Amino acid sequence: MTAEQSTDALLQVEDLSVAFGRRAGRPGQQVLHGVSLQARAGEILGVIGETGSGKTTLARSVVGLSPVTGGRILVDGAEVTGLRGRALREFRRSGAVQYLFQDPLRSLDPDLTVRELIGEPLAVAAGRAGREERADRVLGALQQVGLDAALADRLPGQLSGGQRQRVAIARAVVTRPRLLLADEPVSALDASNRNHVLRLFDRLRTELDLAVVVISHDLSSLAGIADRIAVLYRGRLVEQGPTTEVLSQPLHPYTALLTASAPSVRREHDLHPAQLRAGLPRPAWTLAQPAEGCGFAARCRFAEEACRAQPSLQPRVGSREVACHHADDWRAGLTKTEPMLTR
Amino acid sequence: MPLSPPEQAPEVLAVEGLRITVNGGRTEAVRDVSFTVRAGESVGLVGESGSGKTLTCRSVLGVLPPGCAVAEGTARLGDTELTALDRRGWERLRGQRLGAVFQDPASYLNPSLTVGRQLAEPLRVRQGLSRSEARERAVQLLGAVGLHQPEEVFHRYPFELSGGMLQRVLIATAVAGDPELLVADEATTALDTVVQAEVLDLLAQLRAERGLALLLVSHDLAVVAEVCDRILVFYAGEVVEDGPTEQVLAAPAHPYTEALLRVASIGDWGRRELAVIPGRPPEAGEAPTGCRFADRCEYAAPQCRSDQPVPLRPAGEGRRTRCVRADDLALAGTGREEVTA
Repeated sequence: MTAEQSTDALLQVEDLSVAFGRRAGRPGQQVLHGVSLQARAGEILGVIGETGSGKTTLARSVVGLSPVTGGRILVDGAEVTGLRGRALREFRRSGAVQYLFQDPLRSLDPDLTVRELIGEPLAVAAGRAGREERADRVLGALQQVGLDAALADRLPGQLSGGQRQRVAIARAVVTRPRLLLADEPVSALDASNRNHVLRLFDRLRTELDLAVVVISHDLSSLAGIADRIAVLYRGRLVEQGPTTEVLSQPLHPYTALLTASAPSVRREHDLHPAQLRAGLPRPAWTLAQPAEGCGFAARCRFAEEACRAQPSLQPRVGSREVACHHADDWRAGLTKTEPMLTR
Repeated sequence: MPLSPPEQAPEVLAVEGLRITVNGGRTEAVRDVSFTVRAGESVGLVGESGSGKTLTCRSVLGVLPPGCAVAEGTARLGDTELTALDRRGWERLRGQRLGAVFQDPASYLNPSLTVGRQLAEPLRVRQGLSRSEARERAVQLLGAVGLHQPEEVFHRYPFELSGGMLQRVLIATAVAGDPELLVADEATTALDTVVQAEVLDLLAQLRAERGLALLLVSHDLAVVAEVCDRILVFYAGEVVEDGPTEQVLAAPAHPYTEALLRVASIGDWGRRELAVIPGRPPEAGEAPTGCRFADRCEYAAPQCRSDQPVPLRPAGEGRRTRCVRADDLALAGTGREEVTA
């Protein structure tokens, strides 16, 4: 937990742990280990990490869709972990938190028109809005996401991928949420539509004073809009801080490997991924099951004996945090640019 | 970084005047596509979905979806005319002279057989190896594609391996017959960034070691930029520009390429205004006359909207463009500087 943890954070995740399949006498599969992060109103937090790192589980925890086993989550100062039954239903229906899925074709009902889809969350928030107000707000939401009102009577199948994702966003913002969780919202889109949707987030967070959490694997475009970046590896937060600093001067070798691996039309990264990939053979302990020590050790070029102890997240200057024993000295261990063909 | 093939290496693949129809011949999806791939060279096809890049690559593999057909044009692999092949002809080619990898590796493997068995079986059938020879060769191949402990991996079932490992297994299968051409159709799209870079490096390594020609299809200009010696930019069923990667990226000769470059990942970690391309591509079969990009092009002029298709014409050494105004425009490139490694 950071020193500057403040109550004005709209989303506050504290020491969150999640385990699947846990029953009496069985520990289950732990997928998040003590993750702490926050997002303020008007701020975009980017969450990056590979498949299975816990990004989606983290986002789903906030809306009560993951089995939380430790820690707590506060939205706008109110604890939402442990909500059950009526309280959970009311929290969800209030529309204060909205969740956006990767594939709008599968998350939008194919038999409802755009108008019905966007109006539905308002109808569910019972008694919130009359028929006329609802119609107004549907049109307002369409306008907000830059869609022509003429599309209101189309079905999702009659829209392009980019339009569909904007309908999903209109559906999310129509309830005037405080927090928007977007799980890989652009990975099914081509580059132009991807930028279109990300720009939309950038505009909406200002217009609606919205906190936005965006999970994405396209680092370069995410960097264009996100204020801060949190890097997850195997269920642990390994680094977080202001976007430009984290991505251009990574403190964790995994973040460095990610940025060096990102394809670019301009190759000007200072590091080549081959400089950061682990050499072979690996120290035996890094391959032990269950894993011991730093989760990244098996793939880390700089892992050594000290890494057998789990590194904790340490605060750094510039409101950054990193969990690596060698955050300060791994760069010194870099060899000169290697020929690209070495494995 | 793209490796340069020896000048004038023999042509492995030559596609000429390709036209592909869908809907049982009623709709034209691809027209006037011509290009060559030389031995050891890597050529990238890039464009949005529906631009025709995948149909073009599938026609080279003889795996066009139902209802799609090559209506005109030729495609030669070495001295074999592909468009005239019957089923048996294709069978002789695929896995031998022609290898391919696709987007979703898990769906190309049988979930109930070990990956080793699936790799060894074609070796026995195609190359007539004995059971133990095939096994030995399979383990060797698994090692060659960078899988650690290949003897271990040989006995694994697909569900026990990660997406990146499965894609390596499929690459091993694809190169098992020492093909002249490897086709990679969105082969790294579903992989994590770190694994994608590893697989792209593997493809480069195989090219260098085996003199393999590579035809890479991707919607991601950045991926193509990292891997390919030459690129072809597809838009609405046509090639709008092609040429050596460095030159095309540094100084595009078609406004669509310029637009793609603006929206592509540029490896910049700062806050910035993200660019978009206004409008959307024409639907398949709409086939506007004149320049197909004109409606979305900021440089469009009256001469772009003629009633004739715009021909692909030379634009400098080894480059072609389909823009009628190419000579009047100074299009912005990446300002990419060659990194000397």
